[in-house]
Amino acid sequence: MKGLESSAMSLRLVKMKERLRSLKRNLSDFERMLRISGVLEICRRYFVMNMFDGALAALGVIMGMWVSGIADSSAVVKTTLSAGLAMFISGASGAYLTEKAERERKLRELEEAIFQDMRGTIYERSSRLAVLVVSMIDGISPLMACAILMTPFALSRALATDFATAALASLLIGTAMLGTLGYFLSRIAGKKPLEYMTFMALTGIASAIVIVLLGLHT
Amino acid sequence: MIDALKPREIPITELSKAICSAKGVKEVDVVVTEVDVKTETVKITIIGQNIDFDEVAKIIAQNSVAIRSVDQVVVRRTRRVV
Repeated sequence: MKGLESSAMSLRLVKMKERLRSLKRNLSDFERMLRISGVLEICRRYFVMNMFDGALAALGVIMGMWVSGIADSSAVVKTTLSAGLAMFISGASGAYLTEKAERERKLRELEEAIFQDMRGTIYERSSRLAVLVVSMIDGISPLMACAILMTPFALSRALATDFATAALASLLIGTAMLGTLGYFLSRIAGKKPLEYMTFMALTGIASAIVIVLLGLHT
Repeated sequence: MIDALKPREIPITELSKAICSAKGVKEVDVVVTEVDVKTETVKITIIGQNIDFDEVAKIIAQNSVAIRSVDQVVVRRTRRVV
């Protein structure tokens, strides 16, 4: 009886090892395809660009509602999330179509240069993966920015904070987020972070000031 | 020895590793002989015993590389020791 149990256990262990090995192989294949498609560099660019867009749009919505006198936290949450979702759909679908068109053209040109059908090869699979990854990054980054910036309003009832405090917290989080993006960019450029961080944070503050001034004069 | 054409994005390190996984292959030597805008011409030398050429060709094709010609083949008849 014990012998049967131990052999079943060892069979299970072998199966688990096989599964782990296949997972490792799939992960290394995935990494290889990402490297071949050169998608990481594109994603980096899209991520910063779209998160910046999302953060400024969310800040615009929040500040705009504040200066318009619509001091309703749930309205801010709904509006910011709607804007984020719209940016997700437009970013993901736009990037999917443009990246797909570009990759298909590149694949066709390569097929003509090599005189070989590329269907099913690692190059073609990498291209398809790149399209998906790029479109997801393009869509998720602005949505993420909107979701982070609306958090103070979503928590305002639980934390019993007023609208102005939530708006200020959101502005501070937005500025910090833009500063972090600036830091990220400075690491990519290999330059000192202060210049990039200041520029990005100032952009957020400047847009907030413009919206407040607009609200005061209209 | 195989003369092949590959996209520039496919690194020869990974191509050689993939070929090396084929049955019978002991050694793979890949040399880039010509560089174009989109492609590179490579000379692939494969050493081993009882190499399964169909498998090698399949691996090469899967790696988006086109075989242009097989330029040299060395075959030796070995005596089985009883």
